[in-house]
Amino acid sequence: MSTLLIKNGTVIDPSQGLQSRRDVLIEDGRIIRLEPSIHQSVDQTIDATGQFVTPGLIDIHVHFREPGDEEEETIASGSAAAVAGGFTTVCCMPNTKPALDNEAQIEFVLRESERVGLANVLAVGAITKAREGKELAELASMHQRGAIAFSDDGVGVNDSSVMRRALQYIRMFDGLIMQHCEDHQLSGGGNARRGSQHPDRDARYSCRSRATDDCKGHYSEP
Amino acid sequence: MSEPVLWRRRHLLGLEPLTADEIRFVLDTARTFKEVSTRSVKKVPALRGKVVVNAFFEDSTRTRMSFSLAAQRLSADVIEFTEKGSSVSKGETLIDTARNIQAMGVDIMVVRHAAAGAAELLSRHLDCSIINAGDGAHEHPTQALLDLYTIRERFGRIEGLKVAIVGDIANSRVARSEIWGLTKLGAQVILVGPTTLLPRVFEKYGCQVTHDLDSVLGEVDVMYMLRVQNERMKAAQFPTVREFTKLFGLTWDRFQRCKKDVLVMHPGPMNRGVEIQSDIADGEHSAILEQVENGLAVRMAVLYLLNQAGNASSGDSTTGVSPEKA
Repeated sequence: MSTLLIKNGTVIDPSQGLQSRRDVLIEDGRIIRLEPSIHQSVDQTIDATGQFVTPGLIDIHVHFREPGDEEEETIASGSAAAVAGGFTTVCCMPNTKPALDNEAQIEFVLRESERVGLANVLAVGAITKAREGKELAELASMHQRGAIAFSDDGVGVNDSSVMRRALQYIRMFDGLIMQHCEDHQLSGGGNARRGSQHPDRDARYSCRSRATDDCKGHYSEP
Repeated sequence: MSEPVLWRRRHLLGLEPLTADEIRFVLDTARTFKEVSTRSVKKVPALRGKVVVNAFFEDSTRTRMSFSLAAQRLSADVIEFTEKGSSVSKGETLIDTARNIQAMGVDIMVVRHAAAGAAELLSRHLDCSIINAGDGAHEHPTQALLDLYTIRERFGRIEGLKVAIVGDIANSRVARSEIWGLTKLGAQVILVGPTTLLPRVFEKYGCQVTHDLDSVLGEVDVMYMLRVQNERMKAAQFPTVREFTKLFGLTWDRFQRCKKDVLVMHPGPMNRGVEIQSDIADGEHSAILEQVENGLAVRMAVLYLLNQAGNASSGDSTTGVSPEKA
């Protein structure tokens, strides 16, 4: 039996409506006590003063860029970043190169995640082949292989009849669709304030369609 | 020959309007005609002096040849119309085209058209008998009748059987006629297909609707496989042929989980290796060629019965042609 005590942290657990200072006692990987102050001799103690203690966080929308843009991110680097920030489960968007639009690609993500062995990396499959919005991808096959949801992330499915078919089709296995809600005919290049007198703000919004790094220098949250 | 007292209809537009007794009567009549095809002289004089036209506004192999041969075996004169190369391309309406054909002295018109309701429309505007040989996604009554005949011949009954109809139900006129015919005769119909091609509305017709073929394999007596319409895929109704086969194809693996005496049927034209594995289509459980053979007898019966009803209603075996009326 191994015991671990996390002391002096602020425990946040929405499932219990909890956001308070608590000590957490863990025995063989299970939380057995959650109290304002626990004094007990244990194998290991972590002092979490000034830190949050939370259930493993879940990010349902990450871009690990693998395959295709490994110079930006990989499943390994993304998983490491996720667990460093408290995220134990992440859902990979399918706008890789090529897109995650068939069961072999889903299998790749899951296997690579297992090999890395850090976070639970789940795969979101594309709704349409190559995310082109025209023909349905093999949604049932991807579902059987472990895709947890479907999205053409990066682009919305703009053809209403294709979207309707997708929604009908996944009902067969009670699947999920995560729509990238954007009408490309309306959004155009993405300028929120076209012709604005505030070049800083314009640059901020218009450059979001490029690599985020380009505008990091002059972009701070208001 | 049976006395056609049970049959007073001049048109066969679908199975929906027919009673169970009427359907059984057609099947019984067909049985007497099946024997004609076994004779050395495969001909009877029932429709001698009558004219049957095949008016096909849509492609067909089996149905048109079957109607032609059926009419010829009844000694009728048969003329063929196909939309390709006709004046339809010059803008003639369906009703005008049909009336002009009728004016040549037609007694029975066999109609296939891409629009649901086409045969019914012509029945209201023409004096000759109309047989619906397929109207859009609506009905294909002779296909269902020949299938009912085939099932009854194999099992000795239809009542109480479980029949799975698998594939593109939404766009299938065959499926709709099968549903009417099978349920009227007391069979239980299970419809199987992807949600995009099998809307829940079909539950209204007294059918069980499922999207999981594997869950019904062991309980059905008849596996009726519909043709995968490849053109539907372009309309994004299902992703790929591969995925369709994986979910809804009658593969060897699935076939082995079926009942020992399962009957496998297909209306043709079939895509070997897609909705049905080749060796199953050619195997002893398959009734696919029997269906075609029985189609001839069933169509002879239908032509015969409609002609008898036409004679009875006009009181004269030569009338029924009056293009100016209507």
